[in-house]
Amino acid sequence: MNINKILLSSLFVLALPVMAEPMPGEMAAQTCAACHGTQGKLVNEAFPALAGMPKAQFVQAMTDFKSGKRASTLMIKVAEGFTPEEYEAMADYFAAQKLD
Amino acid sequence: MMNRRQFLTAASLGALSLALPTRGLFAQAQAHVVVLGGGVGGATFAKYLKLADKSIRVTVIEKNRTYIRPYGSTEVVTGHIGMKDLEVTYDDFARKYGIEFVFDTVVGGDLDKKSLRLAGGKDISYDKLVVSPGIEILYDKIEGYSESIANTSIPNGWIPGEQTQLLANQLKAMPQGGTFVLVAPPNPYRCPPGPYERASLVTEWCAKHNPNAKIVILDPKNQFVTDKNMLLGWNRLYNFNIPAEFMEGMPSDVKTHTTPSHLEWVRAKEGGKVKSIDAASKTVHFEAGTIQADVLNIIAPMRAGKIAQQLGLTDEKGWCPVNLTDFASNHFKDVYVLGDATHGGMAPKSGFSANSQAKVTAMAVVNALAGKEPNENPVWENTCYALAGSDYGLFVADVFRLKEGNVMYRVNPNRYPSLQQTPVQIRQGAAYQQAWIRSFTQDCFA
Repeated sequence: MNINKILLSSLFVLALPVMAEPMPGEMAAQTCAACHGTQGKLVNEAFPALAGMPKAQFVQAMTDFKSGKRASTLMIKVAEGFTPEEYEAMADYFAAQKLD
Repeated sequence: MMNRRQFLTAASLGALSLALPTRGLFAQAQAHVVVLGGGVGGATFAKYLKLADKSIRVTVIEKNRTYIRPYGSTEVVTGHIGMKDLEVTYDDFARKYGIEFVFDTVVGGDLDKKSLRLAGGKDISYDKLVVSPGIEILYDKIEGYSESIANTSIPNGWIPGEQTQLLANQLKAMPQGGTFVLVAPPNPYRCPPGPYERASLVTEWCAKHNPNAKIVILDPKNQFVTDKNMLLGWNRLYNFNIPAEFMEGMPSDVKTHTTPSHLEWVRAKEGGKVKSIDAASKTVHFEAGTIQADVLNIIAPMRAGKIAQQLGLTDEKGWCPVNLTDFASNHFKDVYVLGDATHGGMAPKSGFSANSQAKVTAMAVVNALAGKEPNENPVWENTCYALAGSDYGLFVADVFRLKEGNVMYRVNPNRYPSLQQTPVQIRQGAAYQQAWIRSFTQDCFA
C-alpha cells in the first residue's frame, strides 16, 4: 500500500458512514461468564457449562432462544443482544475452551 | 467511531503489527496497572487483565482483607444465610492469577504524575489506574439521620457489614404486630430492585414469624425497575392490591383483595417522600404523615465512593463521568473508573454491570498498553435477579452497546420477564437467582 492509497482510502472512510470494527468473539463470550462461569467453565445445577460446547450446538441454541422456538425466561433477552455472526464468533471461542 | 488519526495510525501500522504481534517483546519495563478497590469491579478487572496478559504487573489496593459482598446481602436480614456467607477473601485468588494485593487506604495522590499516596505512607505509581470505589452513603441527606445513628439504632445496610447484622437482629426482636419501615432511595442508586426485594423478603419472613406485623415502604419515587413483575408477585403472595397505573397487561389471576396487605408501598405521588426522622423514637415524618417504626431501615441517597471524590474523578452530581468506549475517566488520562461510581451510560448500578464493564475495560487497557485504541464496538450485559419471595424470582436483563456519538443503548427491546410467566418459570427464576450468586462470586473472585 503506498501513501497515496492510504490517504485515498482514509478520505473514502471519512466520506461514508464508518463500519465499526467487529466485536471480538472473546468480548461477546465474556458477557456469559457471570452466570456460566469464567470462560464458560462453571458446572452449576442451574446454568450449563459452555466450555467445549460444539459450535453448531451453541449457534442453534442462541438462534432458537432469539426466535422463541426454544422457551426461556432470560436467555431470549441475551440472544436478542447479538447478531448471528456474533453467535458464530462466541461459539468458536467456547468450542476452543476445555472444561477442566 | 474511528477518526482520521486513528485510521491513519491503524493503516500505517498494519504491516508492522502483523510482524510484531506481541507487546512483551519490545516493552522496556513491565507495565504496572494499579486497581483501587477489590470489590466486584476491581477484582474482576484484575483477574481478566491477568487472563489476557500475564506479563502485566497488577496491584490491587483494598482496605479490607475480607470483602463482604453486597449482592444477596438481604438474605442475611431474614436469616436465610449468615454474615459469614457474604465473606470473600483474596489469598487463593491473588496466588492463582499472580495479582499483588496491598491492604491499605489511599489518602491522596497526584493523578497527573500517576502516583497515589497510601495511609501507610508509601507512594505507589502506575502506568494505568483503574478505580472501582463503590458508593458512599449520604446519611446526612435525611434530616435527623447520621452514620452513628445508622451504626447503632437505624441501620442503612446498603454497604453490607455490621449494619446488616443489626437489621437482622432488630427484625428478629421486633414485637409481635410491630411496624417495619423501609425508606427507599431516590435515583440513581445501587441495586435498583434491591429495596423492594428486601421489603418482599421481610414481608415473607413476617408472615411466618410475626404474622400481624406491618411493612411500609416510603418512597421518593413513583416506580422502580421490575415494578410490574414485583407488584404481581406481591399480589399473589401478600394480598397486595396493585395500583391502577400498573394494571395494564396483568394476567387474569390478579385479585382485588378485601383484607388489606401487611405490605404497603407509599409512592411519591401519595406523599411517600421522607422529610425528617426523629431517631430516638424511630418516628418518620414524610410528606403525607408521620409513622412510628419498631424497626427502621433507611436506604439513604448515595454517590460515588469517597476516594473518587477525593481524587477528583466525580462531577457535580457526585458520580464519575467516563468515556463509554473504555470507561476512561473524563478527568484524568490513563485512569479508568468502573461500576456503581460511574455515570455508566444506561447501565444500572449493579454488580453484574461492574463485572461486565471490568472485562471490557481489561481488554481496552491491554490495547492501551500496546499503543492501540479500544475496540469501537464494545458490549456489556446486565442482569439483576430479584426475589418477590424465596421461590418467586424475577429479573431485568440488558445487553448494551454503543451507537454513533458514544451513546449507550439497550439492544433487547424488552428487559423484563413476561407477566404471563408460568409458575414453573417463576420458580426457576428464583433458582437462577440463588445459583447466580455462586457463579457470579466465582467469576469475580475465584
